[in-house]
Amino acid sequence: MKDLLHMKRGSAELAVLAVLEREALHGYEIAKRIEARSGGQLRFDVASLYPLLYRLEARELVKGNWEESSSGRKRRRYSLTRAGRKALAPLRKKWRTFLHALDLVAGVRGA
Amino acid sequence: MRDWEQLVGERMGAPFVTAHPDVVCELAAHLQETCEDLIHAGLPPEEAERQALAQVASWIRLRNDLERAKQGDSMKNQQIRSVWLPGLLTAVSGFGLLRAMLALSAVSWDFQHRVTEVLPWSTPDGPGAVFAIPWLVVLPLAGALGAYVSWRAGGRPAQRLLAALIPAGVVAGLALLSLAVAVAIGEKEWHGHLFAIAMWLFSPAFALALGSLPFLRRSTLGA
Repeated sequence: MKDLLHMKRGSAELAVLAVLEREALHGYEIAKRIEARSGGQLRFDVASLYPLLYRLEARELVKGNWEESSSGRKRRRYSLTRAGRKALAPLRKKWRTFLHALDLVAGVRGA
Repeated sequence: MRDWEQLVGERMGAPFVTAHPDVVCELAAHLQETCEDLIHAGLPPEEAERQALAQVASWIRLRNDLERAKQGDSMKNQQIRSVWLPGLLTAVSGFGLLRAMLALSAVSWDFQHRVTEVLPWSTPDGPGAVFAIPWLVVLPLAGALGAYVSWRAGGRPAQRLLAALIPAGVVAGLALLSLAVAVAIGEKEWHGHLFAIAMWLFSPAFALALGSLPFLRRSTLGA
């Protein structure tokens, strides 16, 4: 059960870091971008996104900066730190290996 | 138009709002944006609000998750500062005092000899040899030092007590290990190790706890 939680958390981290790789985004945009890129399969809501973002920030993988829109709305825009960029490649490799292994065992890719 | 910041603040509770006003602002902005998008997509405002709020199944759980995420790192540092470092200081000063006492006793007080006379199963080099009353008399100073440093670092009363008792815990672990080894190798006099545990654990632990007492009642710094 704990392993499953770690897996889920690890995949969520990868998704967030990957969408921030191209550009800095605020929380709502991150959620929308992940949903759009996954064809609606992956969804982040307030309850799942922000604890994750703050954990990533505490580990200095992402950095949030406050900004104010023209309408006066204050939002935080998140960007990858240097450590975040460095962490992304091994994370991708780890998940590629894992998915390949799972495919060999369970044939998930062709299912 | 709903005041999302007020709503999030009410759901998260006043202590959270005071500690993390930026988080409240950020969550409110996210919910507001969700709601506006849903209205833009054609939903009635009430339904849009309901769907936006449905993102949070449990506000208590969200608050706990956010607090853990925000404080995860600083909590570890706080534990190091208020428990482990003061504990190390207690250990160094406690064992330093013991070393000094043994050195003194060898020169003038002759505790080892006296203990050997009182406790027939103890030898000058055995575990009973360190049961020196003067050491227990000054040991509260080490406990007081650990508790004080922990208090200065913002340690809670339980952390201050733990910082004072850490040396006793370390010794207890070693003594239990020696007892387990003695039993495992079939040593006949293994009950002598029980005496060692009592001497090394309970008496010093009591002395250390006694020293920490003046600092347990003080209010936590920075609370």
